[in-house]
Amino acid sequence: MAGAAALNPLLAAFGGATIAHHEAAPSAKIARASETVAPAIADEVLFEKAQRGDRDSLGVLIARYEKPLFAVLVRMTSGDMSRADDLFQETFLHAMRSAGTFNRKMSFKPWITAIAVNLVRDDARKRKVRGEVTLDNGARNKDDTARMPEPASTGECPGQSAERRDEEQVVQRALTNLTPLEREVILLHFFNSMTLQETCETLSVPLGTVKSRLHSALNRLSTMLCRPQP
Amino acid sequence: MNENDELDPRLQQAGEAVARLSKATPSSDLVARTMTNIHSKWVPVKRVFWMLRPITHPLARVAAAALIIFTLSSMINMELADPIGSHIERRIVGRTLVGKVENLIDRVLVRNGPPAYLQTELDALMGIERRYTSMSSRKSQSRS
Repeated sequence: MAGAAALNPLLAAFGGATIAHHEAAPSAKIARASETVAPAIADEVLFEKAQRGDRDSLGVLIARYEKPLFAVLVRMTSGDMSRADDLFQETFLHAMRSAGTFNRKMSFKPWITAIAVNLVRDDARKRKVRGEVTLDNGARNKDDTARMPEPASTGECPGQSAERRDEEQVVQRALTNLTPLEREVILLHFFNSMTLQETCETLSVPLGTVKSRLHSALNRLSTMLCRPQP
Repeated sequence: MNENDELDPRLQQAGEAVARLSKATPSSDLVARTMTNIHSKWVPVKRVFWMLRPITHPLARVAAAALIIFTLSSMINMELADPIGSHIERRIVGRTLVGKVENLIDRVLVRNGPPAYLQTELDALMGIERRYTSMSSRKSQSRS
């Protein structure tokens, strides 16, 4: 429990901060439509309609996943917004092209997230081959955390805002020090609010593997967060 | 019950710290750009009922042609075609409909053509024994 005590000031500061909310995109009519007009339509139904060429359904579906999936992609790419943007578009293009692989007994969310995760892995592999980054260590320098999105202003004073930004950087730096597999599982379960079952469907691994991977990732993460920052 | 309740409080706090990370806001036109991207590179596949799909494989085309020829060639033999026709007439199409179709064909064929013969005369000529007699009044009129 000593570790927990050391972790507490940092985590308490996090707890005091309000979670950043997305500001409404001005031109995202479709996004608003997804929230107001078609909240009851299941993702799977929308996807089936989109497959038949229904543009509205496709728009609603993309808008529904725009914010959560983009946020995960940004975190997985260590804050590279333009890469996350490209990968988001690629994810949906890939989904439309490989609709035949969609198991209708499964839900849409793990499937689309699995596509996104696989694209992130492929992208990292290609970049490694090109010599741009390494799979594990490429995002470990401090410059990468500087590229992370700024926490949205929630009416707090500049001092608090700067403090929160620093704290986010600490957590992000700890995340980038995890292995890609550990980072994936922790981001999907905690950051993307997926259940353990959804996480194991997304990663195509057994539930036990997800649990053990999550446990070891959290262990390492909490150790890094407890360690005094340089 | 929360799935994370089983976790050690220290691990739970670490997970919550990740959950509280701010979420990046995508650019306002991301949805529109994604849709444009999809529609420029993907077209919906139109499903066609399998019997209406064209046969594209060369071997399958040959097989289909052979099947049609084999089926139709056997129809030249009256001993084979007649029972099949009778069966179709009685069990599948129905006598009423067959009568109407025969009536129509007779009217079309004899309108401006050579003098028509009665069906019984034609049957007698070909040595076919009639198994039933149509009760349609129009049919008899068309032949008179």
